[in-house]
Amino acid sequence: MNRLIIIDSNKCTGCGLCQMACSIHRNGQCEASLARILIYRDEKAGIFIPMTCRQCTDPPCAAACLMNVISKDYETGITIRNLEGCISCRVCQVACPFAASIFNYLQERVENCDQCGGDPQCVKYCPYGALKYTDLTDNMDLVRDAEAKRRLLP
Amino acid sequence: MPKPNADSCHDSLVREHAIKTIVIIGNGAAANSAAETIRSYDPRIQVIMVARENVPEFSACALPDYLAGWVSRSQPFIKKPDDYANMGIEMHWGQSVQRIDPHTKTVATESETINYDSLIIATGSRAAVPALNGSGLRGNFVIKDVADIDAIIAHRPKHVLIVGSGNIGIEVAQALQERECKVTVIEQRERILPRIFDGEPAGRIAEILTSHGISIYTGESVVAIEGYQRVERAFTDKRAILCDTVVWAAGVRQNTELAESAGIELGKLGGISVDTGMRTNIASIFACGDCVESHDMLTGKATLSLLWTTAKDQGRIAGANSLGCKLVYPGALNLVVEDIYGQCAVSMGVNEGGLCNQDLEIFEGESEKGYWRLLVREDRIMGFQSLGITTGLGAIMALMKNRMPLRTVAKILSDQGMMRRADWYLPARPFLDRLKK
Repeated sequence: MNRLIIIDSNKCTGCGLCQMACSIHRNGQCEASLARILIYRDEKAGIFIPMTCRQCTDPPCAAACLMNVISKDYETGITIRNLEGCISCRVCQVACPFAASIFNYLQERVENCDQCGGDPQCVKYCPYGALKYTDLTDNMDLVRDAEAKRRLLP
Repeated sequence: MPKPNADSCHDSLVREHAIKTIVIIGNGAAANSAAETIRSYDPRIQVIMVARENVPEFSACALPDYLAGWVSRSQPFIKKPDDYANMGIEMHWGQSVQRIDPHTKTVATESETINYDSLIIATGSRAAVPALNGSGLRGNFVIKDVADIDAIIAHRPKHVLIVGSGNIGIEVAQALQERECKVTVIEQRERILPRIFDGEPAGRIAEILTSHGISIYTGESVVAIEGYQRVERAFTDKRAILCDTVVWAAGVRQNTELAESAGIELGKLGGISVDTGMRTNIASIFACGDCVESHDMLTGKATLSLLWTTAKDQGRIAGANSLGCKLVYPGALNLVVEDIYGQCAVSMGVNEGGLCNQDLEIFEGESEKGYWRLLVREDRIMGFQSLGITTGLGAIMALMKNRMPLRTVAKILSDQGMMRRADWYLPARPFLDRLKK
């Protein structure tokens, strides 16, 4: 099984260190909008939900891409982009349900998280353990999943 | 790249091993997607592609960018000529299929006859140019492949008339404006982008375009083009326009002649009629891409979706089913993203004109970033249009695709515990909060 960045939003305080780490590491520039992870913030309710690429098995961004530059790396399970071919039409941004295709205005390309080649910086810098880089099966909270399913389905 | 376990034991992927040779007619998005799918399922099966042109696959969506000079000439090409051989696809360049014989299972080109076990027709479409006075003069262009763009650039246009204001028309208008041409757009209907946007967003887009110097005349149609040897002026039913170039972007015609002559049925709208597995009425013949008539995912009505994404999706289904799989095409879902002078204009799903239903609820909103409009029918999102907004659209798209009832969404968003489980709805919240009333 491939490793994934697992997010526990209950632990997130919205400090934004993951975004800074990502942006500096990948762009050399400290800017939250350049980070490949974003935090949905509802300050009134105290909800902070980090969102990043979930490395879908059958990614909708790849299906939508007008230039066929998005593909799956079947060894690592990562969704990869050949940015040479990208014309930044932004269709992948609209097709991604998780808002994980990030428009990088410096390069005028749309990017997604590639887990920094196996050493994700955001996970390293998260001070509260909201981000983990582990095997998916270790983290399945089966009880909560079942409960959510029971309540979601009428 | 071969998919591991593609040949899995999943019920829908049960293959017919009698299929040895698959012939694909065409070399567009659908044809290539079909070929890649077949390859990913089976690395050994013989795949033959017959292409009319001598160029590898290119993305038509990048043609306006090349015309504007934003990208190089090589950028629109997705494949290189030797990529086909590397994938193990036998490519017959520059040949057009003359005849399909479903009884002997052969296709005949000018020079040879090819046997097939499964045939995929992906002949695409061609730009529609009406037979007007002067529509054959030098200076009339269409936007269909890279050679068309080369021809326009070589023509050195100064005053351009663009007939039709679909997404191609609007993109080409901006591209030629970038080349310092004086651009005029003529649209027959009462607003621009009639198939994609509703009145309000279309009006806003038209405003942006006119403020950048593009003239737009709606509710007019071109009746004649005049000139000595080359285009000099064009006449609509209301005015005369001086121009040296006319670009026809007023719709396309499906290339169905070949299929028709083989006895394949056409639909009411003029495309090849297919079932949900992209099969035609003749056994072992499949069709996909611009040339077919599929159904809309949301309304279920027959539609001619001419979008890149649709073609790719249909090609995937046709490719898998040509091997004997039983995949089902969920239907075409429109997704159009336009860059209007730096503002992102998005339309997904169906627009008001495509729904023509009374119990349609429309929600509009405006934030500091831009404008949005949500169409709801029977508690489900049917369409969404926005201008200037780039966040939260993916969640709306997913809700629309899953046909999720909005009361379920409201239930999830009102419960913190559930919200954390289904956190990806949250970026769409600004649009959905309005629906609570």
